[in-house]
Amino acid sequence: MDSLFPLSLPAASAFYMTLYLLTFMIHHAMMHYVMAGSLYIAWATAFPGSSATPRSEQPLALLIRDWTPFMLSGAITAGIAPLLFIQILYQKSFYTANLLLGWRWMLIIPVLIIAFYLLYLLKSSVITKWPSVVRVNLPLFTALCFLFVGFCWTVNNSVGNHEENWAKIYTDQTIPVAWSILARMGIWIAGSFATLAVITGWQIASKKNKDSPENGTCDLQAKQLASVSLFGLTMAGISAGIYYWSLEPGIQSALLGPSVLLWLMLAIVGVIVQVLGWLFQFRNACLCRKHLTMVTTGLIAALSGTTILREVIRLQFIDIHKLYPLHEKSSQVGGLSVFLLFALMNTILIVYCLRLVRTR
Amino acid sequence: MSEVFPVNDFGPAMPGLVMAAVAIVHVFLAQFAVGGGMLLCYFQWLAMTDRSEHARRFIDGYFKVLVLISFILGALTGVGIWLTSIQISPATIGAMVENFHWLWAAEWTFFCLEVVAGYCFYRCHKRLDDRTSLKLLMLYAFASWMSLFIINGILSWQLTPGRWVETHQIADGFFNPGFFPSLLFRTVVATTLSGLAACFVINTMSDIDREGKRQLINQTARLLIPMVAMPFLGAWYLAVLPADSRGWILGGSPAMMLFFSISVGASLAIGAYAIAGLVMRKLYINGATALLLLVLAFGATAGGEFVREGSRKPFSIRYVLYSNAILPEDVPRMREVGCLTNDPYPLRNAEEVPTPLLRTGALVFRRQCSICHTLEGTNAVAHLTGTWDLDQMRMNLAKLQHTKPFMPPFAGTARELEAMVQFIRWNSAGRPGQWEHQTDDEKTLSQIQTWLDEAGTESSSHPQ
Repeated sequence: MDSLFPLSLPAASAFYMTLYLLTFMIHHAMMHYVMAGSLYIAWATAFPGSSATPRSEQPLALLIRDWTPFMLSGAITAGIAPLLFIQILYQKSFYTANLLLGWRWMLIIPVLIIAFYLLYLLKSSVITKWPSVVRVNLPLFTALCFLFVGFCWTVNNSVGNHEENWAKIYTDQTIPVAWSILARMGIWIAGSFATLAVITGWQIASKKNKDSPENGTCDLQAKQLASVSLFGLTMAGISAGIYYWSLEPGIQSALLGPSVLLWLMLAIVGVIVQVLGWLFQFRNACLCRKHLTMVTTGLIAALSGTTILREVIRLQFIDIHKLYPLHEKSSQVGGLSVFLLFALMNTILIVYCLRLVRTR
Repeated sequence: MSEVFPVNDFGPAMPGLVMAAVAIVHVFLAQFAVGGGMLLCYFQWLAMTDRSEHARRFIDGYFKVLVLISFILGALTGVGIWLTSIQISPATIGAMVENFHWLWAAEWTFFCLEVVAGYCFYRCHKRLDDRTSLKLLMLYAFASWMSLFIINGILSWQLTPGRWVETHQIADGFFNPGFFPSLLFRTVVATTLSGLAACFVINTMSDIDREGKRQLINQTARLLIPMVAMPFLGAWYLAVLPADSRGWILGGSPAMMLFFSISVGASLAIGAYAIAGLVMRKLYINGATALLLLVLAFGATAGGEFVREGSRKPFSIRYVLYSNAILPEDVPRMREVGCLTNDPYPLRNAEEVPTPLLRTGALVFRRQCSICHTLEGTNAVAHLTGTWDLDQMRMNLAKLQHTKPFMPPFAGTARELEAMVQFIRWNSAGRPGQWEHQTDDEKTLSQIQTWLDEAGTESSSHPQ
């Protein structure tokens, strides 16, 4: 059991877990863009700054506003796969948490629909004609919608982990929310700024190559993005410390166990690499490919590490040994080859689509 | 025995109706998206071959509508349908995921292609040449139709599992008897919806004159021609249904026949107007009429989906899982040990129920009936059993699968049945603070047991 998680699990469980973690990471990265992007737009609108162009009209805000609807679409689509695999991995606890949260959980659908339309509204010209009180509060409301959805997912995870509370939650119809949930959400929200900075960094860098804008704009954006990322990473680090401190000693030691330690170290190294990469870019006031590659590598490492640690914490509450036979039974069902075939074919077609629009 | 999940109360709304509401909206939007892809390919071809003066302008406007409706409402109601399924019947969605998760994962890859191709076109089509635009639209249309292809196999398996019941082979389950008629029928529905939506969108384009709109509408109407195949496809689908399901649709169940008639009637009205008016006489159609036809199409979709859901009864997955989420193979055991032995969830508001027997009855009702029935609201047991006397109620519930063949057998002990009978009567009496059990003596329980034994533990519905 000391081999690296999730390889420490039996083959079927490890396979589903790996697929879950991989697809969750893709979903998570896109959701980060939406979460941090909507918060950034809300902040930039509420605090326009003292320069001639208000923050909400500066290129960085315009770029984020332009891309958040697509990123949300991508996040929802990418989220279907982990939603599928979580039902294989933890069917009982996931379904029960859904049911215990009931209508409160189902609210995420209308809230997401509203937030999605608001993202399109925020990038349209219609909003510029509206009163300033609406223009300032609408981005804030949109960001709050996404915070609510994130909060619901965090509570869902927490409820699912505590089977001993299920009967009481059912009869009382109240959801116990521990304060440590806030620290956990803090990691997610603050960390999302690091992802936003990396993705927008690449967007700006590729646009710069195409359009060759004035260097001044790029310098400003490099400094803005570095500030956004460093702020996010610092706050995420503080939240992670508080969250670790709030965990029971058994869980703390599990995070330092031999099958997990490497992932913890990977997450920490990933954060350090990002900090260094952004510091270089801040100092040079330039988004260069070398340093963007560096922060991207750091981001992937940090996202991989934290995603796996999140799962390790869940497994301290759920007796996964009981679920092994169910995973094994699911793995006997046919169709894997069909999935692999279509996954390969559609990956090629997706690349083809992207090449079609890049080369023309 | 199968896992017991907590059960939520939806007030006067029957849980199945909540499910139906989300499902119908999603199916309507999803089919619109599938047809929309094909329609856009057609108009792109018209534009490329100079057959339509306004085709490019139309594509631009229509695709925006498609993105704003299908990419947002369609996608999120798709997630909503999954979460609602969990709320209503976790056992059903669990069984579907367990058996078809790789096909669902394959469908997910098509969703990804659909979103990428769609957004590539949306963001870049103004600077792309015609051939590239067509390629993107074809990929978008292919991906969206393939998602229909896959989900259709899973959904039709629920009603007509075919040889899968014996073999448990995924190919037998997927290419079940209902697969092809359902796929072709849904494809025709998809092109019809996209055509009707196009008629509405064309009317909103203020920069195209009336003659230009007429030309576009008549070209759009060609997408409605496949409707002539609908009666044949519908008849094919009916023919492959299990005999008992077909019987309910064709008169055995007034509610299902009514919804079936609404679906057929609305489809006929749309088809007649489309073929006679738009295709043959090349009439103009204004925005209000187009919207009315879309509303009719929504009614047809709602009726059709209701019939599809209803005709699975007494199962939610034919021969695999009863509509109350109890496995057929668990019924004999539950007749011996009861249906509450592995239910860990206490009764909510138990203090309002005056006696232990009534509290047991409430739990039995929650476990066996509450997925499809309410106490006082929609499809309420109070109304369905209101005219039955006490013994009649005991016997009818004990022989439930014979009393009403679309009901599953009662899965519990004689005492649990008596508790539920008393609970229903107590509730119908206005939930008084005190309740005299009219009888729960040994003689009564023995009579109930006899009825249960006579009824057996199997459903009246068997694989053909």
